[in-house]
Amino acid sequence: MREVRACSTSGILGYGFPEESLKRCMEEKPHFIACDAGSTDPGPYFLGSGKSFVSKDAVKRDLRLILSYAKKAEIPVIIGSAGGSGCNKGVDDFKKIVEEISHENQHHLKVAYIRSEVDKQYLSQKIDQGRVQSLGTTPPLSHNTIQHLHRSVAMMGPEPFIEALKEDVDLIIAGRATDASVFTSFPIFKGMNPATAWHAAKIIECGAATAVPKSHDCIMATIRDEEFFIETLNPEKTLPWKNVAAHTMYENVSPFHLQEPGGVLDTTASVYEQVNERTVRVTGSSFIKDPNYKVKLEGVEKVGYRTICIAGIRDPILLSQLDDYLTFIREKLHEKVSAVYGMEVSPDDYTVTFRKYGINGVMGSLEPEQGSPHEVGLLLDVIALDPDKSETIMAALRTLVLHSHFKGRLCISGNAAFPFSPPDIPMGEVYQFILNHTVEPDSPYELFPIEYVEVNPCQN
Amino acid sequence: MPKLKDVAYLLRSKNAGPFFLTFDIIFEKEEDYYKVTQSKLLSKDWIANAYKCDKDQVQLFEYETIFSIKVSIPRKYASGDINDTDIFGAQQHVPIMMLEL
Repeated sequence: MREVRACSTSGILGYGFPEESLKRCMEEKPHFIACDAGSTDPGPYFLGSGKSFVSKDAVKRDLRLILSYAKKAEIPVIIGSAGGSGCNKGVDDFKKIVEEISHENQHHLKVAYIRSEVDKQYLSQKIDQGRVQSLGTTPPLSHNTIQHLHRSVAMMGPEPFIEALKEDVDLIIAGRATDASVFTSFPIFKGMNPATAWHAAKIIECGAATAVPKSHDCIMATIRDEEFFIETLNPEKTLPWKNVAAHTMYENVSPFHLQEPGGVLDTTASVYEQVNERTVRVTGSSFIKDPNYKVKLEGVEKVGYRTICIAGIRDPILLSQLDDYLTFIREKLHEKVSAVYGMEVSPDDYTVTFRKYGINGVMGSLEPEQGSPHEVGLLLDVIALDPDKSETIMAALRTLVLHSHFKGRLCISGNAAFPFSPPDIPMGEVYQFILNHTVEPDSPYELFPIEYVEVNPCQN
Repeated sequence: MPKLKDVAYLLRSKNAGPFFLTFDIIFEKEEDYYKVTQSKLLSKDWIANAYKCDKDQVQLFEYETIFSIKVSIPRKYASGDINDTDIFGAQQHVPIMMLEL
């Protein structure tokens, strides 16, 4: 029977997996190994700064193991969303890692690097052509918003991967891609039914997240035209069918429909069966092609520079009037800032946020519990237009929190406990997501140029 | 009085992209799933009230295959926004967890 076997090593490249599990998967003779390397989940900073949220050494460890087993088995390796955000710097950072691995392990590699950054002019043209759509309640994309874009990427579908697979590469390092595209490209390249390919891909994109006990680990999918199997090869784990079914809806608005580039995976009629305690069989999935090919955009704007400071509040007299105290400090702060900067800095040029851990710090105004704590971790947060102003404003704010007067105050030596010296921590640039849109390219390849590189260990 | 947390096999909140929050509740027992779905305790109105959002923006799915209810709402602030308190959206499930049955 026609089938494609996939090995997914973990949810994110660099999160680690037991080598023993990869070995066991290799005994099942997978046709390819894939791993997603990114996400928007850690927030907008990583796309903004181009930095990775996983360490280089951890990525190198995982990729080195994957490549050594894949080379031995002569099967391709597919990595998506390189560097975390999938920006061009993420792809370039992987080039260095691949060169180092090639040199250290004496691998000759044919590598495809696929980029996914989108330039502002392209987006402007697409707006003029009416080919940018908003998602949810986000307003239509304006030329003005594009001017504020710091960096943006488009999420590629399987097509650019398939282009690279046709060139018989050992390794694909892609920029931003949908998690499932990374895993669905090879089965579709081999002509498998897109419905089972997409659904299996969605289940294994997080590695062994569906297995019990949950840990970063490898998982296998066997994809056929009318059914697929998910299997954990770790003898210490089980794979309950409920977890597989539940993963279909993971990090997705709907449990039944998963929008992907080129169409929608529909799992309304999917059936999940427990084959044995480590294997689940799935049937009944379908994939509905979109009339127009669309890809999702991700983009961030730079909003300033952050400095934070942690201040512990224990005094019960102060705790009983904390909100009033913080309002008073907020008012006083601008007097201090004006004394330093005069008219150069207005209150609109900086943002002060008080996060009261112990009082609604996690859920904010949605918090249903209304008890009184005996201590509060007060996290002071200043965002200003440049790093120096951010630190200067924080220094003024911290001093005010420590030394201002409040009604009934007995502790006149200081109102807060600081756990560190220095107390203030510069956090660097701050970004926010501003794109929640899709764009219709002329083809699935238009936004994703591919570069082929022969990496020779002797050249390094 | 039992709460939703007492009859759940899984109960979580998470981002569905930077602009949406999604809640998955899977029931341990089939009868609890039917009890909760038929009682309509976890309704769009209840969610809109608990999470201070527009009722029309609440998406609620009954997923009978795995005895699960899924709820998705727009985030009050995008993940990582200056006013956001939970980048991953991973700790926003508590009001649902404490719903009395």
